[in-house]
Amino acid sequence: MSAHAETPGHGGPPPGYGTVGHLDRVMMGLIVALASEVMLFGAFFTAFFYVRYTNYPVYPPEPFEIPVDSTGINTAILISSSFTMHWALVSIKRGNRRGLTLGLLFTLIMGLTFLGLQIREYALLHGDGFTPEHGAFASVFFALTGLHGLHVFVGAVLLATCLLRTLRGHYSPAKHMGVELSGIYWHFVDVVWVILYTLVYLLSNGARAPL
Amino acid sequence: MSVVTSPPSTHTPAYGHTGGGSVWTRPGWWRALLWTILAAALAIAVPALVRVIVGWPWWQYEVMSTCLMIATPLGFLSGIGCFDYWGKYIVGSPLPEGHADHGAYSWRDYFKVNTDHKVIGIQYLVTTFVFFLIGGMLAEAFRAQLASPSNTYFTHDAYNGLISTHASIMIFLFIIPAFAGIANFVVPLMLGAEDMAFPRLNALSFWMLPTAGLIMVASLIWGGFNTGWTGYATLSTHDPTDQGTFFNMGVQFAGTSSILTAVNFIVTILTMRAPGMTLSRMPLLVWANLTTSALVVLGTPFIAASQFMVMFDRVMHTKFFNVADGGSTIMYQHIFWFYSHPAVYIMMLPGFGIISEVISVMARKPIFGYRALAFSTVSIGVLGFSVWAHHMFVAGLQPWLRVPMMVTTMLIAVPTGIKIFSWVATLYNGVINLATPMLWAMGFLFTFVIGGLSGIWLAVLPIDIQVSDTYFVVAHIHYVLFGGSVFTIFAGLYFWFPKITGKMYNEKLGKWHFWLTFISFNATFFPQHYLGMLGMRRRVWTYDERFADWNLFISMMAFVLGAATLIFVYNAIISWWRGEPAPDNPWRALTIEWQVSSPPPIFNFDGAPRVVGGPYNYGQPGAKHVVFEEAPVTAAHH
Amino acid sequence: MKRIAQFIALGTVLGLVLSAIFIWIVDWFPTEGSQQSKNNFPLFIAITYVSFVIFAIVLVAMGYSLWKFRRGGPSDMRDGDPTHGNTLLELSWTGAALLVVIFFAAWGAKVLDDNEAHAANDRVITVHAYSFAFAYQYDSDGGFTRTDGLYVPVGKTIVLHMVTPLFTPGTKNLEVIHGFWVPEWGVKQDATPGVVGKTVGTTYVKPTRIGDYEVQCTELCGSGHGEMHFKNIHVLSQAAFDKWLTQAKALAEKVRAEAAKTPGLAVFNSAGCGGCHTFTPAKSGGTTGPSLDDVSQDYTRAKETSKTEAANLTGFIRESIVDPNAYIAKGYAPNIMPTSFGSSLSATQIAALVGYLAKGGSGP
Repeated sequence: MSAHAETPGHGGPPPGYGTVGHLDRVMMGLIVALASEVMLFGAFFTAFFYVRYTNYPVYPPEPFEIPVDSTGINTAILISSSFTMHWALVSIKRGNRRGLTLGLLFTLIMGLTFLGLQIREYALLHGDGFTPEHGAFASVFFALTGLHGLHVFVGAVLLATCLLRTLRGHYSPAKHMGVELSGIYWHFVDVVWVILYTLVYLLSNGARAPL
Repeated sequence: MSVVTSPPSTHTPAYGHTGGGSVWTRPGWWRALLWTILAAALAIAVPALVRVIVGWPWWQYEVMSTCLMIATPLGFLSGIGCFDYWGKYIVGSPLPEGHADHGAYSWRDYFKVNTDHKVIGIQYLVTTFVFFLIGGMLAEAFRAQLASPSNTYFTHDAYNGLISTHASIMIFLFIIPAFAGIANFVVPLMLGAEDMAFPRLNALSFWMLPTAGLIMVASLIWGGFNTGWTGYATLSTHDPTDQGTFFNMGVQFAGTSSILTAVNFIVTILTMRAPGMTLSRMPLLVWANLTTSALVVLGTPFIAASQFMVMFDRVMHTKFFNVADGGSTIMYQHIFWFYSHPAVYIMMLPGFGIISEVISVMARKPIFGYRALAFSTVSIGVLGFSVWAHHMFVAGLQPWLRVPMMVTTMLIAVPTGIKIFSWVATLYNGVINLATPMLWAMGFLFTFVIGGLSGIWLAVLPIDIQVSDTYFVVAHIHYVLFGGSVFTIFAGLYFWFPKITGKMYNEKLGKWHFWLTFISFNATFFPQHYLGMLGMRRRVWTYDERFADWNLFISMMAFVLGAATLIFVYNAIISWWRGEPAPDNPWRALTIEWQVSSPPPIFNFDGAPRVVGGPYNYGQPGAKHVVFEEAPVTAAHH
Repeated sequence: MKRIAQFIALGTVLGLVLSAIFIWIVDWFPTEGSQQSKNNFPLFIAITYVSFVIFAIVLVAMGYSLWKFRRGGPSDMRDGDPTHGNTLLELSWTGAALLVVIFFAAWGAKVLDDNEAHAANDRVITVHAYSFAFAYQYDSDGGFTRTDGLYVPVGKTIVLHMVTPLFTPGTKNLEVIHGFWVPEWGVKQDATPGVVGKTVGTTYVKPTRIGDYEVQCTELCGSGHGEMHFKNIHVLSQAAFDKWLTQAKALAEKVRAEAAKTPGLAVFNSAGCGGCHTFTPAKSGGTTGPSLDDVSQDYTRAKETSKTEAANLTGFIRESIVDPNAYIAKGYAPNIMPTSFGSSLSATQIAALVGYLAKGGSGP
């Protein structure tokens, strides 16, 4: 198959070469890349803190209300989806294909639900006049939640890809890197959301929208 | 020009070389052209459709130009083949043969998506050099304007465009990626690795670079973006018709390229070192690239965010930096400089690594204070995140932040000083070969010490208040970025030229290049300290009569500096084409890259390298850094 | 070790000589014009000496090594001395660097503190920077604003607040950041949009030398940045300043009274109409736009050619202000006059201005 296996000396790496402990190279690459994404969110959180502490002692500014409760439900959905993701991963490790498929499917559905509810929230806020152009707080709010939503969308694409490949029988208990990586990415997205929800929604001291 | 290093008969590359399908469907320039045009059409059609549905007029310049700047690069990158393998992998298509797109078998391979780190390294170096020349020509243009206070060669906006694009090109399209290019070629070899951890990602990283470059250079057609490379709000947000989007988007592509490369280096350095290469046996170039990569990964997102916010403010009328509606202009500066200060270390640490290699080899001595040099590299990286507000001392900062930032800024001088003293100590009691790479290293020591010391004036608050935003800063910048980074890039290029090209460069031309550059560089930039102190501010197209003589002198010297660079271009081309074939190890160095042929075999090593000692044990008879063992023959290949 | 001492000794001498040359012969410090500049000078000199000494020591060590330890030609295959380091030496130069750094940081912090010394009753002036000029508002003297320059008395500390307006006057364009620098004062501060005393910069200066100085904008602010420098900083003796201040206050009072009597003229001046339009009652001579002395003739012409729907002169003048492109006078071009006066001026202001122009400057 591979012509250069015959090239003298080029047969492959010595055993143990290319790994660091249990962490595979690709996993390490994803984690380093996620560190970068954390800093990207960090920059927008910096903007949030700066704008909030210098110009918005009460946020959201009048007359807007922040939908803490309805978004709280959304948060619960996203957190649950991390559990189904974990279930999917544990399933394939045990060879349980059905568990993998269902786990991925539920995670994907919950992720898309999250996105849908997020879009609904945007539409309602837009109707109230709370748009990104409204003021600095609004701009930061939409930038942060929008950036997160974009990451959820990418996560959904990853999940859909995993699901497709599962249905084609690509994964096995020994080889399921795609599921592992998607899992880590999905948990990252979830953790960022929990932080965002806490800082922007839960800790808000202005008016709150009724459910 | 010899690029073939393996007998091609045993290797029949199928994918991407003679590959199946027509020229419009297989990865390459024709398909890239087609897909770029398609992407451009979509970039206009999709927003137009959405706008018509919502009820707005279909055409809006800022929306369309922004979408174009996102879509056309993606179309190009897909067309040329950066995503082909992954795309096929995801949908389950049959994958092309493992190393089909790896290695240079003809000159054409340098214009394709190629996964060989050596090819990518050369692609980076040639591309960044083209941008160096473009950026240099922009400088000659505005130095021509500055030769006399009454010149009016350019409109005011065009002049501002020239200086802004000059800096942006030099920083994002030359210095940062040139170091990536040298590291791409050398580091895997130095580690004893066959390639980088993610060769396809490496190829994508490279191809994003000419994309970013085209975007930034394209801005010149419309007069260039005129906000300075620092793009402060509200100058960069207040006029929706200016060309800022070119900079905002160009930075995104250059930044992503940079981050992906950094991820690649971190994983490669941490997981692919040859057996026996402990961290304390790593060459200092590797330490430098590891630290730099961490800076890139952690810092670059901040400039990305700042440029997104500027773009949103200008295009979508958000209010991040609009003080009337709750925003803050100082916030832009904090977010911007939080990356842009570590950026200067991104532009210097790899150079420090190169100098350690060159000095040790050419003085035939172990590098003095290896541990201190490694430690100071990492400390500069860490401390580098704590000093950003020294760019904002006169900006209207929260007053309590100024003195702590002065203290951290002064502290960074300590690890930097350690390096200078260690390099000088390496020379003492050596047996010094003053070939061209060593000349550049010595020139670097001279100019970087000046640049670093001028930083003391700039760090000490009351003096900084006087010299901030003047030609003193311009002098400092160029002493550390040209006298610093560029001198080290030349040192590295001459040093590894034989290894990369398989030919020796012309030593006489090299010396001419060095001396002409060294003299004209100092003549161009040293007087600028004086001009700044006396009262000439920066970013102006004219100045007071009393500065006229010095400015004329500086402009003339700047033209000599430009001419000197052409000597290098000539030397590089003529030597690569017709130079004397280089031996494997012309400098009798110990590090792994010098133990293989010049240029190296396509798969780097014929045996399996095993590191048995430190990389700088010159002066110890019989000391070896690496030995090669018979590689185990296994059919499986990672 | 002996060698190191020699390097340090020779380097120190060389460094001191070089810096002496630079300081006393090259003379690169601007004329000392303030207490701040005076406080900076010794610090500046000390940094110069220390930097040149460090540079010279490095140069001497380098030069000596390059000469003494150069190889004996291409056939010289020797290696150097296999020393890997010297802990004592490394600790010493690290410690020395640290000491130099701490020394200058401490001195710098002290000078900064001295430079910002001010008392509660010091004169406060707010510097308004905009594209592309400065205006000076004398907060402590009644709040009048001068655009012809900054006048200050010698020997007294001035508190300078630096601010730019949120919008460029007369437009809806966000104003940009500018800088304020008088080299002889050693004082520089960016002017940013924001709240004076809270979010924008403040600097302090105690001028010590009578004379005229130039202020320069030090933050890239657009196409006018290169021209944004004015030799209109005037440091006067106390007596001369007191005289100027009396006149300035009187003039300000006169203008205020006139504006109260003729609010239309006040709007005419504050909106900058005279920059482009000639209008004899306001003593303006701008030629970019048509003369407003002929405004009733323009109305007649516009009505004849059906280019305006205004029912009367007042309506026509109002239309010309809020919708300048509706009717363009013969010989002039569209899209030059800002179209934002309708929103940047209040209804009261527009009414006053319209009335002023309609009555040929004789009221209201």
